Amino acid sequence: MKVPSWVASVGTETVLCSRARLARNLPEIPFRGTVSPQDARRLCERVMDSLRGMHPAFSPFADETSEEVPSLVDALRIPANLVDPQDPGPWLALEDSDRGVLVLDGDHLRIWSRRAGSSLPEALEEAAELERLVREALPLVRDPRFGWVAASPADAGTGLRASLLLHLPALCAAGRTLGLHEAMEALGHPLRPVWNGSPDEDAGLFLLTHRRSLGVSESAIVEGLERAAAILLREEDKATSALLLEWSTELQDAVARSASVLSSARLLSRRELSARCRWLALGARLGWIPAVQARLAMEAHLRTGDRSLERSMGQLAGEFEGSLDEWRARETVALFRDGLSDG
Amino acid sequence: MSGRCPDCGRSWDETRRGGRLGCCGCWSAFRGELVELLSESQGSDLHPDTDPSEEARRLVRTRLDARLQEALAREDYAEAGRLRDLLKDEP
Repeated sequence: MKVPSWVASVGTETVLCSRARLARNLPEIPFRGTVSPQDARRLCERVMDSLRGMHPAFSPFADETSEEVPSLVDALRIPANLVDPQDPGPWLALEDSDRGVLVLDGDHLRIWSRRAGSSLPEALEEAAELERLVREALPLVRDPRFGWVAASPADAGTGLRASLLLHLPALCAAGRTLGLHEAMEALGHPLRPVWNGSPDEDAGLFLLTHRRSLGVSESAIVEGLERAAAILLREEDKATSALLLEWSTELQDAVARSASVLSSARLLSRRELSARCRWLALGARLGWIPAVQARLAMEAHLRTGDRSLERSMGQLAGEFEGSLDEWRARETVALFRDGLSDG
Repeated sequence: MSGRCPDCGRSWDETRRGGRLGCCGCWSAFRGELVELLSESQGSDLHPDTDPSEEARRLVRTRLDARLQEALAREDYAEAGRLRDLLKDEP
């Protein structure tokens, strides 16, 4: 599994990654779910031909059985159902793992760019540049009233879905995320769990996005998202200060204990690893431990998810014959041993 | 209430339930319903004609300019020079 580049910022940054995605569609071809397998294949071939001519670095994947698809599912956070062989598409065209065009996802084309840290303007600039090239090569449908048409009405207008990957370990530790979910929702900026699972198993990671995409410009969306992120960053700083003031000894204990556990555990549940990730990120931010420990913990968390298990062991989590907690502990301890000796 | 999209055959009820349209033609077939839905969910059913490239460039320039002013204020002239060069390179 290729570790996403944003992991390098764990333990030092709160905004780990910025992503901009533009939804675009072609005329006379149904969207995914309605499109026939034949039309889907014709669409993919047409898009791929255009992209090849447009940019020599694009390398389309042959089909959903490509061995590279599972790692992309993790690296790009593509929903796993997109690689269902019963369902036509998607095909992926990538320039690299941080920029590319996803074909026949919800929309015919989803043009995206991802940048480390708080770099939404730069991510949008890159995606927009790619979109301009695509627009020159293919006829994209724009409605004079609704803007860029999309498969989902929620994406109409700009077609832009901008998001920030945030790491909020202090707010999680302080038990303040529920209230923030409600506040951000009211502001039109949903704060979502990263893997659509339990927040307790997401290692303190959240995706901040926006609800409006129509009737506003792309720059207004980005600026609104950045203002919402700034609120969360201030709250995270306040939560850190409050923890230090009231629970300093307990906090130091949790950080030290987490470093020891992840270096020597024999059994490790997903939930415990997630919590240890949060403590180590906090410890690294406060300068109590080297940031590499927080990064290794996050890497272990990513490497021992259900999809990673399926890929490395060839078994689904529910069918795993051994002890999942034992496997997770073994992988984590090995990562810590190798990572710390390299450092 | 419209019937079905003439291009893909999807009904508005199916669209509403699934949250997704069947094809680009649905945007014309269900225009009235979409105006109502978008006015409610997005606060608008009219989109301005913006260019994402221009919008992004404006954002990047604004950010670089703000960083340049900060660098000048703290008399970090090396950083200011670097940022000025970046601003010159921006189209």
